[in-house]
Amino acid sequence: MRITLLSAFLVGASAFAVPASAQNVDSKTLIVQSTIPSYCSELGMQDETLDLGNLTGTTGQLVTEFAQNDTLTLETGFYCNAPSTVKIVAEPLRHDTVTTVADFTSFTNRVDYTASLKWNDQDLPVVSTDSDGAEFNITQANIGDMELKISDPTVADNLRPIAGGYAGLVRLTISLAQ
Amino acid sequence: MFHRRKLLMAGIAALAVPGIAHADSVSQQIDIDATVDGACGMGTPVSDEIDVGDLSGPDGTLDGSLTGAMVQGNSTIIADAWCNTSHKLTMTATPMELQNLPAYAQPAYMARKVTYDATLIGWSSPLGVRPHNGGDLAFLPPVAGAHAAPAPGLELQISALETLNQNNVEQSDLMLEVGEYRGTVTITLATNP
Repeated sequence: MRITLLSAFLVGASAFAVPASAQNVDSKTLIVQSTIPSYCSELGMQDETLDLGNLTGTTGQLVTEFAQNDTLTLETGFYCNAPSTVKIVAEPLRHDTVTTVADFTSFTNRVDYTASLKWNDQDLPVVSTDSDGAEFNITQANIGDMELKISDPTVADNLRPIAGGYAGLVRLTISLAQ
Repeated sequence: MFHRRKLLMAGIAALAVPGIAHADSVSQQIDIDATVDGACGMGTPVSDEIDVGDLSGPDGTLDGSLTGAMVQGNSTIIADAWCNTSHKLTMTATPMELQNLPAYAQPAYMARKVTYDATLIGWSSPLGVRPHNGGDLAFLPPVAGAHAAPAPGLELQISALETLNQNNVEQSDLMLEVGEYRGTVTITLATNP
């Protein structure tokens, strides 16, 4: 009985010790591959309007700082995972209805300003006197909060703005660098 | 083993395609609004008092040099007058009046009031008033649009003085009673609602 059991164990052991293949060691190299496409996250905002308030003080001259609402958070954690370009075009504040100023030596229907886009460590200013706007090359991937600030109201020759409503706009385009 | 590989590939795919939206190019438009309230303003006059000097001539009646065109110095300048919208210009004036009235009634041959031409130039049109009572008024029709006085500004001229009798009627042969005479001219620029 003892001999029979020992034989059975040995047979079983040899069955594990001799594999079907002729080699003792085998290996396979598998390549795990993937691609991260370059992209930017999307701006989720709908059209926004900044009401900057009254442009003039008691003397009728342009204020040195906008009265209110000069900053807008566009996105939190906006990112591009590759170099990108940022184009900003700022159109001046123009009078809603008056297109020609009769007394143009004293008054104006246009107010200019600086629009600055802050994106993480990038500070990207453009002035509305530059009709083509400005384009900035962001040479690395970037991520961070994106904020727009409107500042530095100016008029030519210290003219007084005529009364009424004024409207302008800032157009912002962020594209992957080619 | 096959099952593990499937899990690994699924994990890689999940990393490569995150669940948030992304794009090659994104854009945003931000509209900007502002307002300019309608307003008018005037600077401080070079002098807020025009001193016409001694009114009386050698015979005690009004000095003849004051009854005609403006005498040099009888004016003042108000710089930086402006309205940034449609507006009205008005001017009110009172005659120059003896300040310390005597206790007795005004004699018929004496004068205690003097009228004058108050002429304002430098706005869209000249404006004049010749006061005989208190608060005589002159105005320009409402002017559409913004306007500002060119340099040096609005000029108020005082000229053509004449004595007034007890009924505030001009009478040239009256003798002026002694004392200080004072009148006022008020110029108002206001937006036209």
